[in-house]
Amino acid sequence: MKKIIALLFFGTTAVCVSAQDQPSGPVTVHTLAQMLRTQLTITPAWSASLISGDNNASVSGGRTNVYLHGTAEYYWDERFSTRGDAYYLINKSKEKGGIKHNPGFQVGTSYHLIKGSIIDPFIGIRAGLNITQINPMDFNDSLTLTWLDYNVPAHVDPTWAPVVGVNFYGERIFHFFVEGAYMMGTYRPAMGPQLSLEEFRLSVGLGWNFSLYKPVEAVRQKI
Amino acid sequence: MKKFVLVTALLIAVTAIGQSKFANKPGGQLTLGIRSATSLFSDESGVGTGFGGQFRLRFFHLLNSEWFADYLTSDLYNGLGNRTDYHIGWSVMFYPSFAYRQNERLKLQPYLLAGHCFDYTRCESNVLFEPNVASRWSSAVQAGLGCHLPLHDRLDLSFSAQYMMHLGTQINAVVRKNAGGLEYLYFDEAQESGLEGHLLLTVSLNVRVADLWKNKIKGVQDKKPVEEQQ
Repeated sequence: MKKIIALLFFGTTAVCVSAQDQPSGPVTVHTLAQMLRTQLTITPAWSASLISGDNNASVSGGRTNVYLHGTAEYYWDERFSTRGDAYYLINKSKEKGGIKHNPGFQVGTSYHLIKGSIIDPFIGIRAGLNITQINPMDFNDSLTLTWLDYNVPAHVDPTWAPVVGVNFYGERIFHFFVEGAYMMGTYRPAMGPQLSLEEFRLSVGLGWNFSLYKPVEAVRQKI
Repeated sequence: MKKFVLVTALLIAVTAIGQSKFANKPGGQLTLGIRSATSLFSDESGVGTGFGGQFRLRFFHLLNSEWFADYLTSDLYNGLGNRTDYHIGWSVMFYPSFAYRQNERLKLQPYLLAGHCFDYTRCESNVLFEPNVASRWSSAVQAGLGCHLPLHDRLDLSFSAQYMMHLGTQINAVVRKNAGGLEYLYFDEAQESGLEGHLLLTVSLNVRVADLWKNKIKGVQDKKPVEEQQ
């Protein structure tokens, strides 16, 4: 009889311990670690030459460029993340020598200033490449020859950008974000004028975030 | 006999201390990264900026290797021309044992690096009516200093400064004016080989993706001896 009671006792204890290990329903985590953040938005950009002092004419000189901007960012922990960004120019210029193509991508890292908060201010740095081309334009040789509508070739140019911004995490999978990136680089076509790629890009919008937290199967991001 | 025991105990103690310092040896780590490069002090050209990629294969805990490719563009004679450089090369990185930190977060890990590089350079005059192009292949030796800043167990930011000495045919650029006074770049035909040096500064972001032979060694150790299996 004692053996049976002891067996039942240990059996019940084992079941209880086992039940403790199993999450009942979705689990929420109060951390940004191991989270994937994505977004797609429309980004206005304005030319500037504050940081590099690049005196070349700018590809966006005098106009507001508009880009489609996508981001994927992985949070290694609550402090550091790695991100990739891609831009595609939407509003091409119609003018001679105006900007025609300027797609690009950048990869970088961000430092997040506050831990465990729904407000996530960050600073970061990114580097990448742009493929830039301007519209055909006229050239003259300062004598008598003029080449009308010369098709200035596209060129691949390195870029980099400091970034600063804030994310506001709502419930589960959505967040709101505001960020500014100061793009720097120079367009150097094989033939034609060198132009500064320097511009300030402002991105605002709604993003999606998914937890990739590994220890449990069903996790919903609390922040 | 007492001396022998003392010396043996001392050796065991020293070995044990050494083992504990490098208990988790990082040999075999494979790291992928992207890098942003700045080239300074090149002859005739301005500051070059570039982008590239790299991978690192760590041979031993104090010896790493870096295999890289860079794409750099720079200005020639204030906008009269462009220079494009393609680097592909490798460096061996030596971690001084006295300053060794095993991936301690936010602690700088300094290193020395030296290696070889191959470079393709293309210079172009970008004045439409006076097109001129010159190109060359060169090989280089490089050496410098760097440091890792671990941000996470698998993520680090690295900074390096290395001087690259290129050996190749020289490209001589001359500013000329056409009949209308338009300035353009003219490149003389390459006559002889020569040395050209520049300082390359890089900032790279690296993610450790695999421990290549650490797992294999562990696998071998995990295998039971044949006698035991029988």
